[in-house]
Amino acid sequence: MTKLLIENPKTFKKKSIDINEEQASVIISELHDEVLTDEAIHSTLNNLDIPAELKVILSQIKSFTISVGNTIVKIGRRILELLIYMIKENPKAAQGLIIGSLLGFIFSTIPVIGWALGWLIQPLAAILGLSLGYIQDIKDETLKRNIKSAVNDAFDSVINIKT
Amino acid sequence: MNILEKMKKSFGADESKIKILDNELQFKLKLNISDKTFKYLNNAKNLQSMMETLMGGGAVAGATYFGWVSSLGVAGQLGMAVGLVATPIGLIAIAGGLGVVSTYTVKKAMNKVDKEAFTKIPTFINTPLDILAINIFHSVAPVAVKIALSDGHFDKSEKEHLIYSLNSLWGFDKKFIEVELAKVIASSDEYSFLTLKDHIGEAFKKNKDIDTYSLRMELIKLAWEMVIADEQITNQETIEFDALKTALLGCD
Repeated sequence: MTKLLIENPKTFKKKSIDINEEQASVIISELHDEVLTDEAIHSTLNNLDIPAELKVILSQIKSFTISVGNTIVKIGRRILELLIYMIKENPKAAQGLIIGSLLGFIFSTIPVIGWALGWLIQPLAAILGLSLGYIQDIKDETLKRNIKSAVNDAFDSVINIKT
Repeated sequence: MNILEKMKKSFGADESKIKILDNELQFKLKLNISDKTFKYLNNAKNLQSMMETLMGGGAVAGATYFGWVSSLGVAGQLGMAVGLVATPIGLIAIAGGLGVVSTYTVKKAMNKVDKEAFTKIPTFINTPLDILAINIFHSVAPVAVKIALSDGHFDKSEKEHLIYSLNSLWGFDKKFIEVELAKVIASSDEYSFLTLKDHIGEAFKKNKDIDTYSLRMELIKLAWEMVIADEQITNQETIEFDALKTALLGCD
């Protein structure tokens, strides 16, 4: 067995979950690659037309990591890479709506991430003026489907791990 | 294709769209580059040979990429490589001396270096001119940003003036300017006129044929334009501008 360690960056509470070797290997291989450089993430976020408070929240998400055995997995970074990708691929959709929906969906469906970052839902809702439904706020069915599919695909290796 | 592959493809396509110079002839004019040198710099075939010259010959492995970049700071080598003598080579020396390429190009390059790759150059660097342009951008822009931010904010009129200067007078692409300016602004706290002074001083000492005077005047002129861009001259701006002048004029 391998230990998967999560730390809530607000409360500093830690949680240790036992996963098997195969699961550990899949998580590391799927989430280890960096798709964008730090600079690209930084400059893209800086140029988004969103409130400064939201940029602060996104930078907090970026630094979120989990440990799988002795390997640090930058899962927060992958969340932002996916976010930037969805914004880029959906230029007609409001950036705030994509951010709120995608993060809301991730926090509510992926326990490993939701346990650590779920506390961000309230400030996100306040800043974006979205209801707590998030994904339900999207009227465009294709976009909604794309977000769900992208999140499920991107976090396939951790989606079923219970906390 | 899974989402990771889609993301890589999507962002990779982005990179290939990056263009550094929008008006290469304007850039040539600004630097007073001779036709012969410009022809050399603008020829993609010379990228590899210039790189090899700077490295001292031989093929360049991915792991030694940093060596290549740091060698850009040696104005004499670059001058020999591209035949630059009578042009304002001081800009090139200072650009390389500050190691600015490493903050932009190398990180991207290293991310892209395949394990088996011999030499890998970022897709948006197509010619030696691109290398020169990136270096020069990161020599000029931080000075202007530092002055503009000295009163605590980057005024819209200051930003517009800087974008206008870099685009219309220097020939840089507007999109490139915006992306790069964001990085320069983010790291402006770490930027110091004294470091600039040291590098100019070094370049001057080691390379007697370098025209650093015209470069220094160019930077001072741009800095002053930034001071007056928002039609308000604050004490902080005056202090920073004086600090820049002291640093640059004290290089002799």
